[in-house]
Amino acid sequence: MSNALHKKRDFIERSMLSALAFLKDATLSEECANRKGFLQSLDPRFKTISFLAFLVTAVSLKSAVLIGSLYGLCLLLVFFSRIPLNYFLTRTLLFIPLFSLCIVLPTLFSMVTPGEPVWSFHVLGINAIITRPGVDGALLFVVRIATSVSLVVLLSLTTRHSELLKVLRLFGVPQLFVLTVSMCYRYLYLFATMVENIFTALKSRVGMVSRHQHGQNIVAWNIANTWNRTTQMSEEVYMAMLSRGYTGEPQLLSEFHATLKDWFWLLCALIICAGLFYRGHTL
Amino acid sequence: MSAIIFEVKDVQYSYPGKFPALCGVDMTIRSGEKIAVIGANGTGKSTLLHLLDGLIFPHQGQVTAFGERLLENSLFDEKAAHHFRRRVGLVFQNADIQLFCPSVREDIAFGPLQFGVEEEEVNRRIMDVAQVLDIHHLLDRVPHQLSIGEKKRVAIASVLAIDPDVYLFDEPTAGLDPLTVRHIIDFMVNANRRGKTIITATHDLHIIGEIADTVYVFGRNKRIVRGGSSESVLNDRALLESNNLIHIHQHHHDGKEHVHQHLPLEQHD
Amino acid sequence: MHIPDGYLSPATCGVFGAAMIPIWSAASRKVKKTLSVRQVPYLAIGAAFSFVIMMFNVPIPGGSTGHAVGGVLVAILLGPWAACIALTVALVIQALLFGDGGITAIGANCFNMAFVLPFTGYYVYRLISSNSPAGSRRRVIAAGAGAYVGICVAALCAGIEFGLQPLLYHTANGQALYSPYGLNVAVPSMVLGHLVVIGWVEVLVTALVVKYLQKQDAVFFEGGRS
Repeated sequence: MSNALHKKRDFIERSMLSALAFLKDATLSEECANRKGFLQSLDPRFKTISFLAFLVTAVSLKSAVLIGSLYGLCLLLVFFSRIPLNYFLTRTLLFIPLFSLCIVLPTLFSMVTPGEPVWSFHVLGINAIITRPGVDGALLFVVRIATSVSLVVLLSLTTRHSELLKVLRLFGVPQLFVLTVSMCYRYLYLFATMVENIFTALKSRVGMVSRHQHGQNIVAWNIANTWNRTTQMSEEVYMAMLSRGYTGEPQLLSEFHATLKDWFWLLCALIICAGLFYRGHTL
Repeated sequence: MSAIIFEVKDVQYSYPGKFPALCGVDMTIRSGEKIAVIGANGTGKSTLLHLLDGLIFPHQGQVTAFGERLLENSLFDEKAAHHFRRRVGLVFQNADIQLFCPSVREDIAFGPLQFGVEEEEVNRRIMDVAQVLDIHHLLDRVPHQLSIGEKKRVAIASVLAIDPDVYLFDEPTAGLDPLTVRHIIDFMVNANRRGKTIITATHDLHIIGEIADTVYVFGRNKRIVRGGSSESVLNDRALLESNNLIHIHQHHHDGKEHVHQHLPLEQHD
Repeated sequence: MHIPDGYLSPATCGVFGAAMIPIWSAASRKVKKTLSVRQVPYLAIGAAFSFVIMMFNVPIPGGSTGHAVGGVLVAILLGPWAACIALTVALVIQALLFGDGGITAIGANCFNMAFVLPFTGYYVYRLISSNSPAGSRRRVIAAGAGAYVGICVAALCAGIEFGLQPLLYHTANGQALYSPYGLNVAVPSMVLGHLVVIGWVEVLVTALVVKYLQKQDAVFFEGGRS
């Protein structure tokens, strides 16, 4: 009985934690975006284009060393943008890169990647051999992933989210879609709070015996309820938009003002990428 | 006699698949008036405001605004819609519905931008409005981070930026602290002094004295039970009690217990 | 099922990005026709709903929990074309603002989760439910079946995308540059993983939610018809 209760609390806790983590993360993120650091001072459009260039470079290069230098640049930017390094590292490295490392571990071994042995050891009566190509391949994979994630997270941490979404306009995304994405972002918090509240209420109902089935019903019922709020809210927001003059083709603020510093930064970024590509070719 | 702005003739409305919300309402609203529509929950006050703002349309009867009938088809045309909507602003009951942009600045700018106001002018209006409602420090925040009072002020700001002739307020003071309520009432009174027509739906009788000269009471039957000057309606205790607008409460005073109707102007003995 | 940056080569990302453009255009046109002026708030809030589904932890037999994508559920509720856009919006926000799923990989992710998943699932749902009444049990089963088939087919696509990488993109001496496992490993692991475990999370979420919505007599848009 108590085991089932524990399990129920467990999944409720985890769902709540998921919603809470999202909310907490969002607040921290906006706080970082408001600090007076280097990246925060750049025009979001220029910043996004430069980071996109870095990202494409990271994804295209074939040398772990070169990609690693991009990662080094990324960390330097973290420092100059006054983002706490340990927060940044835990935020970026602990999830996707760690997960990728685990996935790619088997490829270290000769069974998967044959080649010149680098290290061997005995475990459970098997002779495990780690090969040079295995190490090279795994390293390249993980460094590439870590650098990519770090670049995207850094971009998002140093830019106000409402502005970052407006940059999409630059890439030919229609105004209608930009407004849709912006509005979705705005209501995410509301929904996350709703989820949090639902689960807080549930948590306080002690004494319910739960099997996994019951827990599934709770989740499903909550999602169903959230859908009802969704349809209701959609119609209400639609009326609020109409009331303020919306007729189907939204007009949005442009808000961005470029300075010489932004152009200079973009130029530097493109030169760095070009340089890395050239070096990659000649290696 | 100033110009007639709204004429509501025998209007009936039901929300799809639900009970009727209004069962025959008649009203005339003139320019510059201060009107309050009071009634218990579910008596159709919000519905009336939505009808006046051309967001929903009556199943029977008609609503006329600025001399023209408010019809769904006529508001399809962008020019006609803009012509009407820049003259009437509705401050919704739920500020989370009204603030649908990812930043306060964008919410305030939304209205004027849709009406084709130039961006420079829009930025100027944002500053002016922020000054009036004391929300300058909130301009770059996400609406979710705001307190309920701040959200309400931003919601009003988003309508003020349009500078309509008519303000419709749906429960403007519900759930707010006294200082914020004060600010909002001051805003409403000032707007009316500048010649704006204000129509408020509320069940908070405490604010009626300042924000309304004429009061309409909506009853459980979803019709107007009584309309008249705010003084005469507020003094009609029997009516207010039978329409669930005041309550009897019991409390202790100086060691004595007494029971009385709780009216906004009640004096204690 | 969110694919991060670095698993797929730029060329693969480009191909899927290009493949999505006509799909997005078609979806925009369809949605404009059915929802017209209402589309922004409906899709935005529908997308917030999709995003939130992905946050729910669903308990599964064995004591652990899993996450659902909810793509088929959203398709049943909004219609597949609107679902495509709503899911894309959710995925874009996840990638750009939360680092969940890659930016270069957005084309592939949208292809799998905003196209293959909702469309496959929706048409299986329509096939099985045929003309049965809206409140019938058959619809619940159809929803579950649609979700299962949808997620497994999407997983198959992801598996193929991964599996092709070492084949097409490697160094001169055969070392893989991106996802290192070939088709013979990637496809079975993705598909089996979903057939046996993860698929059921989708089934449960989708079927149970539809069941509860039937009870509450909720509004299903299904491409514009309530």
